Amino acid sequence: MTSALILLLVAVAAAWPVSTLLANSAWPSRFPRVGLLAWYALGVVMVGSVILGGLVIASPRHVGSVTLALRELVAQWSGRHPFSHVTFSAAVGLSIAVDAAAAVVVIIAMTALRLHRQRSHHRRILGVVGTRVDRGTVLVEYPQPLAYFVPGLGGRIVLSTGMTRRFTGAEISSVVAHEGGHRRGHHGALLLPFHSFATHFRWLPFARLASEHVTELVEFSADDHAVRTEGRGALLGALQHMIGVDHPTPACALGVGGSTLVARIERLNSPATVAFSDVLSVVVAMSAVWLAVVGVLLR
Amino acid sequence: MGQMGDLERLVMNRLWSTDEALTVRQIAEAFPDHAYTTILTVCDRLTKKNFVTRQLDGRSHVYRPQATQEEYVAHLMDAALDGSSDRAAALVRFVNVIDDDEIEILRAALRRRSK
Repeated sequence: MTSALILLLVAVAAAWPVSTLLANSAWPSRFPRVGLLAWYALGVVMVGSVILGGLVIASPRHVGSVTLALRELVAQWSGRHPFSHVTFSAAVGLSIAVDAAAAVVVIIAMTALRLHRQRSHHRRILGVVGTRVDRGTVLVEYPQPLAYFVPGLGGRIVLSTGMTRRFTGAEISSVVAHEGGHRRGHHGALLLPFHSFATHFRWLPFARLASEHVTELVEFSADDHAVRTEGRGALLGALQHMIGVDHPTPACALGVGGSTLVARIERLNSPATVAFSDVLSVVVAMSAVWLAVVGVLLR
Repeated sequence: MGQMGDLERLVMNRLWSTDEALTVRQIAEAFPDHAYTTILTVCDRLTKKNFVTRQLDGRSHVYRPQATQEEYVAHLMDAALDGSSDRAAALVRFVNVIDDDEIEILRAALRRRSK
């Protein structure tokens, strides 16, 4: 029972205090891909602990070690009469594990299907109203400056003429590079589990925080790609054009909180304040704690 | 897909360029490089995709667009600019929707800094 309790505590910790801690950390904005990995790991730990905890409760003998508990469980279910001595706690444990696993699979599949339909519909219309610039880029006649990426198979970068007419060549390249970053990073697929959690488990602090931050991190990561290929100046110019500001920003923080756009401009303007060693220490610390927990459980 | 997709767009443009409903023959006149049957196939596909409606006019079918080009573009841009509904999750935008107040704050901040 102690192992089940520890696993439950790990799940609660991942869902709430650790999520809040990660959400309030500054380093993920500097290393967006490590940040994305951290959010993913947190989600896996959370769901994994619930499933494992359920299985431990379902085990016929309450032993301290998780491996032993699982072995007992397998032995019972592969035996001749698996239903002969199913206790109340076993039924509860099993339903926790099965429900958690099924819920995650079902909501992700449902969200994937819904997004796929919306994107196909969008791509179909793009096919008749947009002009293909190259294989994956489409131009649409529209007065407002606009750029976005439609993820999925046959993903498309969409640019409005309002943008291509107003932006300089370098700025357009940088916008295309940013959207290309989304394509290369498979950000559509990456965001999927977080979108589905945010839609279906709104009450869970992890669901809300993760989706909010992962969306931002994906933008940062695409910005990094654009900066690497087209330079910082072009991207800053494009971002400023988007809000109708035509002069360059000096290299200092803006100090306005709120939208991702502000955070992005601020990030491009200020030099790196977090060293990679800081991130490394966080990652090492997190892994150490996790390994310790696993060690205790598998002893 | 590629060439057929392009042809679908061109046929739609032809239909959008006039107020009248057109027969396949009338549409095909605009595409001398393509066979009549190709244009017929394209019209058929566009009907199945609900981009055009087909009606019997006398002895032949006539086609007209379901909606204007502007309406289709508006529909797409609506999805691209909509930040609240779950439609937003289907796309990844270069800049997320920001409201006018936020834009004002940003502009003011940028102006202040550049002085």
